[in-house]
Amino acid sequence: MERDVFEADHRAFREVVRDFVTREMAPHMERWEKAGIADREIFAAAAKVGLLGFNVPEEFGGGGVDDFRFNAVVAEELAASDVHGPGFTLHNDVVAPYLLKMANDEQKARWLPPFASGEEIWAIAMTEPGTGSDLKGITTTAVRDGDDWIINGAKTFISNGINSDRVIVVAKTDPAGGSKAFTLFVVERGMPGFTRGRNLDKMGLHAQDTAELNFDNVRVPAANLLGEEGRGFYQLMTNLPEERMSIAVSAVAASRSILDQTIEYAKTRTAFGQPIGSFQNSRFLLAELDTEVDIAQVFVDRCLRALSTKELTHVEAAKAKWWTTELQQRVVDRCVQLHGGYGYMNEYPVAKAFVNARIQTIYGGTTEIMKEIVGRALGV
Amino acid sequence: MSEAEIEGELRGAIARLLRDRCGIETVAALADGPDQWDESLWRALTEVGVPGLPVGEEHGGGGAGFALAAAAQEELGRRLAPVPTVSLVAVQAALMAAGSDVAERWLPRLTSGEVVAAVATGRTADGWSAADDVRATRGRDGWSLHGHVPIVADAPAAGLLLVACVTDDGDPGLFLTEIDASAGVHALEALDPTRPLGGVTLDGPAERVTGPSGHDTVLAAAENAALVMLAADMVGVGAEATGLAVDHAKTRHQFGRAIGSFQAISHRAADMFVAVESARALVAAAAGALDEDPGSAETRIAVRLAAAQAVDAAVAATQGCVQIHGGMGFTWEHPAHRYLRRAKGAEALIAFPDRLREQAVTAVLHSRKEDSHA
Repeated sequence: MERDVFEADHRAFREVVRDFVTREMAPHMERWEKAGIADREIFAAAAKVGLLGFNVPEEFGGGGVDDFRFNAVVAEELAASDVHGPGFTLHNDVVAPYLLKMANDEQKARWLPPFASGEEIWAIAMTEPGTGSDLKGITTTAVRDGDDWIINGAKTFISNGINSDRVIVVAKTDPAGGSKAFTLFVVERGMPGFTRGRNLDKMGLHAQDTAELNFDNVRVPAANLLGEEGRGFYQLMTNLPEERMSIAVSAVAASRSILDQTIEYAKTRTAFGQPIGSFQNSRFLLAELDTEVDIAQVFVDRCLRALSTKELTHVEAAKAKWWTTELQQRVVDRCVQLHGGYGYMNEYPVAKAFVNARIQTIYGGTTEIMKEIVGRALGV
Repeated sequence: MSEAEIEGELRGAIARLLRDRCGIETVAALADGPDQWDESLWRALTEVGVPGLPVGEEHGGGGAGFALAAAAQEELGRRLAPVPTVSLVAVQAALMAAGSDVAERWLPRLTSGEVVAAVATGRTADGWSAADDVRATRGRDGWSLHGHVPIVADAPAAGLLLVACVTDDGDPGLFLTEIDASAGVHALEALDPTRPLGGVTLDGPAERVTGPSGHDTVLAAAENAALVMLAADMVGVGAEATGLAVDHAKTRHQFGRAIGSFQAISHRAADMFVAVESARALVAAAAGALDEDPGSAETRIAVRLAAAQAVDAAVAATQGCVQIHGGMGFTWEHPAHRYLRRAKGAEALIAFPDRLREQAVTAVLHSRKEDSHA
């Protein structure tokens, strides 16, 4: 089905992104997967051609484009090629909105130019060993000491955790708790007491560095407080539609890509004297998946249009996030089955797509949390 | 004879009787006509001892246990027999569990099939409870019941009602009361006309089956028996619907071949078959558990899992039967809708599978907790 959400500029941008992903990233994936991390230089290279920092104002060295459809193009092209290595979407879709919305002028001048140029890599640290979706359970603390803040605690599952130069850390600044107890701080590489734990061994996404971070009396100057003291919880909430749509568009793009590859496989692989796709079971299954992925694409595109005009609600984003990522699970599972024994071999893209898909219904808010959001909005 | 041979004989005898007296045309004529149930079929079943199967020989029954009663019910379900065995066996189970004088007096009349009995209770997420709008009052001449129960399965066939309600002391009570189908029962138009429903107005004498101490055990015995019998009925319904669908798929040709040779049809039929077979095994295990250890937590769990699977299987198989028959399956003349309605009726009436599974898992967690305390 023809997609109507993109215009000529987006299509031209897609050519650039696809070219970069194919030539500069895909060939390195095997090495990055073995190393458990991507080369940090790829950030600067990607920024040079416009894959990163396009949504940062021009005065800070960015592209000056505030239109989430460009974010979607990058997310889609990475997902379609299963190039999950460096956390580009984390930069574009999650970190950038925080800095643009919450940093003051001094901070913007300090942080945005190397962010936009890809020289500095960022991460965001919310999750803790004992705290996932229930952010109010965060135990990392920040205590004021003169003009500084002293941070203590541990974070885990942090994407870009090893490569990152600056990390947005969510910490509790009011021991009494409650929704006004949290504040965001930017912790920098080299600050005494800030150390990294393991690069975590994961089921999939092997080229993505995902780490534990430790904070042992880390002294952070007040100039690195992001946004307002006590407003961290609300600041986290305001950016959720972008993060969830980033995952939703990736889910549909990855589903479409692996499904198209599987359809091709079903046409060429023969068994019992005929292409396996011509058996009714395979044909119906492919028909069902193709239909559902098309339907998902239409819904996501509609949400994308709403997000590009800042009209998307967090409930709509939650709907898109859970449904598309659950669809992705079914698509990759059935595509492995259609590949038979080859589907289980890592040399086939479908095997990697299968494991790489699995986190999608978990990070950025689990399916169950998404349904809570949708359900609560129904007033039930 | 081995147990399997006895069961085979019993199933064969009932199947032969039903082939003669409960063909699909007979069921259709009754369902679309004014009669609420098939009284002459009931008399024929009575002659071969069907109503007394689970009851001990000391009460004039067959002493065959719930295992064989469930096997017989599967055959009745297969033929959509419009007879009140599920309700009757539930009341019998309650009376056997109560063991009171009142129970001893009524059991032989229920066993012989002379009197048909049904159950009137309230319904909560946890299962059967006291009927909302009925009060039991103790007067000089004994107990009497007053009030209304909006839906009672098999009431239009029944002469006796087992009623769960609250007494005017505030205690839970279980009572037997005679009813007259021509007076106190208001027949309802039900989705499934092979299992008649009635609203019952109560205003007359009653006998207390058990005191407050035995109440929970006796009510649970009735509910467990009803669930197992209904589940067995669903196995029969699902098996027959699957059989009809497979027969049709073998003979109906499209695009130059039998439609059953298309994978979309053959895989669906295979799924229906597997679901029904699984249900049959679970129902046999649950019925056996009722015979072995009626009051245990394991039995409560087995009964609920069997009923949940059987109802799901029957609904899936009867829906598949309609779909595989194509446009023909949607016509009034074809019996497919009668199977589907019996399955959906059972689901709505007493056995929402989600509820049953929740009850089962609650029992599992509860027994785990007790284990860990021990």
